[in-house]
Amino acid sequence: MTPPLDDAALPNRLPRPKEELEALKRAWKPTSGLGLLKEVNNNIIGVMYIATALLFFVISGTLALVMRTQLAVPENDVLGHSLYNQFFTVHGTGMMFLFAVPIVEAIGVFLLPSMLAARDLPFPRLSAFAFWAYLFGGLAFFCSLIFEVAPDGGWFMYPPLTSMKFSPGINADFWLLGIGFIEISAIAGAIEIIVGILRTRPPGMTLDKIPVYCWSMLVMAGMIVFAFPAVIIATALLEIERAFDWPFFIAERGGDPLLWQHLFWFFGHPEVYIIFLPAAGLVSMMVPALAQRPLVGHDWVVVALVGTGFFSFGLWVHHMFATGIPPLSLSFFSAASMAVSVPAGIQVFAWIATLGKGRLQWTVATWFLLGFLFIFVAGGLTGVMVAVIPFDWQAHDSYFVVAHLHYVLIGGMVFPVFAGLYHWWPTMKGTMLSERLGRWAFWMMFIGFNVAFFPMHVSGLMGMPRRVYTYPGDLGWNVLNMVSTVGAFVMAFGVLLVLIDMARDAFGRGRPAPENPWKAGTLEWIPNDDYATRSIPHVRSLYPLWDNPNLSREVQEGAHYLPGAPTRRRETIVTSPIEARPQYLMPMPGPHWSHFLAGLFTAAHFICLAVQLYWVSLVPGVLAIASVFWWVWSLDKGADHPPQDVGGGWRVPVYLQGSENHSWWGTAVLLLVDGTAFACLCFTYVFLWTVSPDVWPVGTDSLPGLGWLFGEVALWIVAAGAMLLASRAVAGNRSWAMRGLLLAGVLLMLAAAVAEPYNRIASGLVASESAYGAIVYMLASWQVFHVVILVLMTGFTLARSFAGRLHARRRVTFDNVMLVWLYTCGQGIVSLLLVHLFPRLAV
Amino acid sequence: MERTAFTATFTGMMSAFLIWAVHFAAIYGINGLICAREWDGADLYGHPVAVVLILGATAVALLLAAGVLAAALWGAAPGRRTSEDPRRFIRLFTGLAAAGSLVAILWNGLPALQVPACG
Repeated sequence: MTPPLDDAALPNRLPRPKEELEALKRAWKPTSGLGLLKEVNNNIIGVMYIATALLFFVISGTLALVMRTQLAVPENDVLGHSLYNQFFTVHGTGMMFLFAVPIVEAIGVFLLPSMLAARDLPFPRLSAFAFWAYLFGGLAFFCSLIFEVAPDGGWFMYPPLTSMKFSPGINADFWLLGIGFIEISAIAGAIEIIVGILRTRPPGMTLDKIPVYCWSMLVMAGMIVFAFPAVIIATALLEIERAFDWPFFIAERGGDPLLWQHLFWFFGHPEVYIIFLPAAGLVSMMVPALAQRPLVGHDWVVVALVGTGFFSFGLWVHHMFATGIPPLSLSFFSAASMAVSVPAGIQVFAWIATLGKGRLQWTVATWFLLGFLFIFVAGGLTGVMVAVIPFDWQAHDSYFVVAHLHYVLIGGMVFPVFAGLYHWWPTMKGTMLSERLGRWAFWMMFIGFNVAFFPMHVSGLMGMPRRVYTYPGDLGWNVLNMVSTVGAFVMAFGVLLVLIDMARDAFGRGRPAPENPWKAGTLEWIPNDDYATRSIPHVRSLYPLWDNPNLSREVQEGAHYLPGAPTRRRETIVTSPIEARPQYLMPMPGPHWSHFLAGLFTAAHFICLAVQLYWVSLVPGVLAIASVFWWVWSLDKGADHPPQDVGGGWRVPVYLQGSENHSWWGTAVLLLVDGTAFACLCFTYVFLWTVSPDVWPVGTDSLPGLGWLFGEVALWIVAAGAMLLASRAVAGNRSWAMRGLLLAGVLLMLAAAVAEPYNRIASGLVASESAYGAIVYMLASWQVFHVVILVLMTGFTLARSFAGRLHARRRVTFDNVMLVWLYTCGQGIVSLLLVHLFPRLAV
Repeated sequence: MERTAFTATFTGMMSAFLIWAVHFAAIYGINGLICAREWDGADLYGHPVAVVLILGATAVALLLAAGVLAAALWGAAPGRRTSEDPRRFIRLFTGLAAAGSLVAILWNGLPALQVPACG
């Protein structure tokens, strides 16, 4: 018999009333059947997200196998050159955008709440929306292959190859619109992850006690915030060039194809670390569990993760060493490429030291981890080689680079993810995958991988270029290519074994797992249900389960925080970001159709655009917006319950407004994304001037007068002032004053936004004539786009006001709109100063 | 209060990395602009303009990062108002980040002494 717990020092007294658990179960009861489409619970969405990412991995991998078959022998004709181009584009795009990033976010959605002992992440409908948008968009993207309209410009889509002149038809549009919109889903996931890690940690989990994986996800999400806007802007510019002939990348009219490379690789290089860092975080969690000792140098590893995140932004030009950039500039990027290997090395040494000091459990995950270490270190070494500029000039665009990137990406990400699948599988439904099948799978994948990709180093050094669909038989590449192809199939067979293993478990053949089978020390190993853990533990160390052997039992008996559902609905505790002190009880949105429909209609809108059904696309576009309004209408409930006792002497409110509210944080992160996108447009303006000053106006004759500038800036300032006055009106419950000010303010913004393109048209500037005209109109259009969004948001705010859902004690919606509003006014002013003053000041 | 503390603390923890980022953008921007506009023939204090500006920016960035490191070592780092556990971690983080950034800034700036600006 288990002795009763001494509850003197526990947050809640035991035993707990029986009805408490019933209420918790009722609140978190999952929907079934078709209702699954409405579900938002991370345990369900996370699993569907991971499964979809794996499906896209298999599809993209299958394309690779067909390509390897084509290349197995010289002058083969399995694929023609056109289809081969589509295959390698969809393979690369699928692996990078539809597998690698989504699966790390999906694992986060599944794993983070349990690692943080939160009932869910703070915006569950946003996660669910991100998932559905990704699923529909991804399926449509792969379907483009069936109709032979898939993109064929490589996963990097370099213009001018992808400009309208050289890529007529809709192939490139599928990439630009399809992938551009799926990136929005990645950003949604990043916002959820950042706010979740900073605000839904368990009480006591101060900054120094955050698990390494959570740090890695925080860094990854931060990188998405600052990297992805660059590719979104790049795709928008290229799509606009293709659709309206605005010459951003056409050299004859002042554009520059290198602009694309700058924007793309400013995203593309950090992307490698966006994929790798979460995988490294998983490794840093698995290694201590498997070695049964704390991670050596935990604090150093955290700094290394953050440092890698920063330094990786200084590497984008190392993909452009062969483009004619000045030698000193290349040296900066070469130096940064070397610098980033230092923090990566710190992590590798920390893992080796931990493994060396501990007593290693030889599980399937251990084998995948060792495979990862071997392959990733080899890939890192060839990375240092290609960071050396003269070597890169030799190896550029050869199979050596193909080998390097696969060693880094498959070694650095796929192997840790497969290790993670085996390691954390028991947390999903309490069963274990087969150790025997898993070992077979590992060895086939490990051997197959090396047999497939190692020879590519050699074929690359022998001169075999990337992206060729065939080759003559007298160049000495035949044996190497045949060996690579055999290796690829062996590796694919290993992946198939893992899928078979998972299918066995899904059909009920998995072994029941003991509680905490690897004897790990972190919170996700406390038994979980739909409502997450029965109570939210108080955390006192990095490995709470090792430091308090009773913790799991205490939590399961409800002795810690929030053991029930006091307001009878889904809720979790929001804590302060540094010291993790309980601040308020956050009500969480439950199952609903709105986010599903929003995802479906958003995907439909972009697919219609891609196939050039522009007018038809308005229908799903409007429906998507309506679905989002339906979704958010029921949120921001106000303080509809009195403060609740969550345990440990904490009695917390159920609503907090202003900058403490989690949605305010979400909006702030979204504005960081927006600001980065705007910065990319400003960079575009200055870059195009740098390379083509001849298309910029000389003198002030063709520029609008400064009166326009002052007038428009004044409009933005007054619009911002109207919002600030409206805020005071809300605080004083003067609803009519607030409504009047909002209406006046939005009209002022409309006037300001329209004035700029109007006066440019009046002064005779034509967007399609030069890169100067294109970027000036682009900046104006960007501002108009923001005002259109604000018109919708203002309408929504007014509707809530008229419905009695907005007043001094219930103003979170208003505060969020105010943030976007003030940002837009600031952005408008900066944009005007740039386009009006720069040509006057530039030499 | 907590939000202000968070913003200040978090920015302080990242300050050395941010200094590195600004320095990196500055030296790349300076060199790119000088080469694109063909100003590389100009001299400043008898030395090529690119070299002087880049080394100047590097010296400023090194001083700033060293200041962050000193603050972390002598207790003026962010997180002073937090309890003991996060405070110790915040100081260590800030110090390590500053040390790493110092090396990275130096590493990035030094090629200006050896490599021609525009080839």
